[in-house]
Amino acid sequence: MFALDRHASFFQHSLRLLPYHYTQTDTTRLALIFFCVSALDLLGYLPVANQECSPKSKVTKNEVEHWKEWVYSTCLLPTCDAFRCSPATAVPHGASMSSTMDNDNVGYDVGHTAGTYFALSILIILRDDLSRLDRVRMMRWLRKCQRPDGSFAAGVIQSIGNESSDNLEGYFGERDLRFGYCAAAARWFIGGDILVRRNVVQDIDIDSVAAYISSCVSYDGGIAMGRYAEGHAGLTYCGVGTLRLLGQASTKVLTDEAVDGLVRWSLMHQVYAELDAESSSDGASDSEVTSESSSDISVQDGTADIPAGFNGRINKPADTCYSFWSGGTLEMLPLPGTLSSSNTGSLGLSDIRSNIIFLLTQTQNPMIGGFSKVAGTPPDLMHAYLGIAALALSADVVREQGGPEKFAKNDLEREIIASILPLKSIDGALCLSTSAKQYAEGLRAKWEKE
Amino acid sequence: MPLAYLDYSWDDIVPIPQDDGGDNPLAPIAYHDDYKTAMGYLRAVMSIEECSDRALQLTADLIFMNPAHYTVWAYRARLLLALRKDLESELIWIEEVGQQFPKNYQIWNHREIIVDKYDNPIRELPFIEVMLELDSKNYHVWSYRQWVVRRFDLWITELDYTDRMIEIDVRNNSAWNHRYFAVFGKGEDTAKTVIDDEIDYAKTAILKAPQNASAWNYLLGVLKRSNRSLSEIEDFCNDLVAPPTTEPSTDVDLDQITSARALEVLADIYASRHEVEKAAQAWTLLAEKYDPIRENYWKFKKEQTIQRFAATA
Repeated sequence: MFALDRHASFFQHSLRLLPYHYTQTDTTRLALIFFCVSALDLLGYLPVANQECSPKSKVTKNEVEHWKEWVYSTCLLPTCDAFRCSPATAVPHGASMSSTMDNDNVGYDVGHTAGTYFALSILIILRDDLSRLDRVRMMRWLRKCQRPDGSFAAGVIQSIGNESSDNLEGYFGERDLRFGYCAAAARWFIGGDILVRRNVVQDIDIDSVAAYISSCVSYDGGIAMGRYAEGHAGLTYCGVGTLRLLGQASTKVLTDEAVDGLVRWSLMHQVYAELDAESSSDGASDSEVTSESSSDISVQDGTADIPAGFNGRINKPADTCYSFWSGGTLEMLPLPGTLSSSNTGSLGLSDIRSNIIFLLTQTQNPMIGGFSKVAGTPPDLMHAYLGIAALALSADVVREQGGPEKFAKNDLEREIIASILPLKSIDGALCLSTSAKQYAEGLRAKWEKE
Repeated sequence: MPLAYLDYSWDDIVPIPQDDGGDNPLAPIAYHDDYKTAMGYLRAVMSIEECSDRALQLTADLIFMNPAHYTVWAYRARLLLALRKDLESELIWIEEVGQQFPKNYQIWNHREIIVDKYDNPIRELPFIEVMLELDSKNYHVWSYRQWVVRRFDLWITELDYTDRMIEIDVRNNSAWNHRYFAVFGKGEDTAKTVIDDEIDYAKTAILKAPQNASAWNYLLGVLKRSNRSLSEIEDFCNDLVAPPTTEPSTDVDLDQITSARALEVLADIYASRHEVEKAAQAWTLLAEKYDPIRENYWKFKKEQTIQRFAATA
């Protein structure tokens, strides 16, 4: 069963203190906070306006106000145009010091596209009106983070003058689609498109974003880190999400054929849990073939009651987070060849039932709450959040398609599936609750009229 | 772990503590004292953009405590170049970090910067091999290998290398992907004989493991890239759904199917030839028997195709 209250405690505790091993995520602390806050929202544990809040929630309205204040005070840069990804990277700027590397001022305390995206998501979930931000400056900053090839950097460190290498000339961070997704989501949250239409600021180069994403499509129809790299479900989510968030201008990439390919590619990543545990344990071809035939036998015997999650790459084992990355991708894509009016897109084409059972029986930790990456390992915040987000996507499909009895094969399964229905509805592209998205839409509507 | 940065004198530096936003910070991490202290010095030297050996050592120690600390990497790259440090020593150091933190993203970005300056790939392929021995599907390592191959024009060895990796594990999708890069990534026209060889290569691998999606995707990818028709592999697929030893039959032998993927390709071929009934039969088999995890998808494809042809008939 879905251990809703345990999960709620897991995230509430995490907001109070994280153990030492989270040091390796120190510089992306806003991501950790986003996981907690958004999970509590989906679980119905946040006391925010017009939302039902569980009587068991220990979160107070004052705390919610404090959290907003904390995000602004520790992570918004003094220039007010972007957020850091963590208080850990804040560095007071030295004024006119002489012992520097070069004459130019090199500031390491700079805005981060992921930090900006996570901060805005958190603030929207907590129903902040973003009035403290200079949205025009933020759009200008986002433009600066875009590389000439259309991709986005994590941020820009001011040029040090003499060095001419592209990698040192300001942009920092890996070249992949994650930062582009963050930039697209940030632009949407602050109504960047509205500001552009009003001619107060120039837009990011949307055509080059779209062209860059197209260049990352792999030969098997997924989306990869770069041209000729391996298709990867997380990057596929980022690519499709970016296109969806940028709207009309980028729909030419998502042609019928592309949608068809992406839907098929994402569905092909749903795999039986046990089969993959076997095939990943031994690289020898003999055992691969054996594990295949045994899977065929189990299928032919009609014992297909093995839980099935999603993997991120072909022939890798199922992992909690890909239930969201692939599930979210499918949710964003219309049914191939149709202009689906369904809110859950193509997600219903996957095996929702097996995925729910995979998450609840394999990677959920029903004792301390949270989800782990794979069975038998301790839970962590990222997998805990993405497990819940994936189940929220599933719950939307279950509600839309007639309830647990349409999916369950027996009474126990019906109960298991019904246990996730208290989860709030989720928006796949933004990875937060539909109600938070509606709040953001309200802000955008207000800005549109201003 | 001994912290070598403390061997330097820091008397003139006042550490800058982290501003964690007051008494009730959000999701505070229970830092180790060593990390907290080192971070205090880091903020202090970063704030004055100090360019010194002790700052460089501090970045090394911090990277071992938190290899995902992106501004430390950025600072380190600048320090190395500004101090005109020996780049080969840096490469050797990165190799240590890489082996200790094989999942880390940042080291590859850093190594790219350093190797680009160093302008010599001598250490790269051997180091990559070591890393792929630790994890033969390490995404960052394979991506980095592509960068090295392009940057130093090292295409010649790549096909053999993927052959070796695929020999070890025919399901290593990263190796298959790299093979596609090795064949097509140079951007030149690929000779027909090369394409033929690749098609044969994939077919041989499929016969070893008929359900292996990596080899199937490669086969279909190569056909598509070279504008060749799916029907070219129809006989091959037929053999996999009904082995040649059985009597010739127009019907698919239900119990002999060894590859759901072959069945899927056949369905697509039938549909492209407007043989709707045969395609529908294949999709039904996939939905009900050979790939039930995607039952909804196969049924959807079947319905959609039947409707499309009913509309045009």
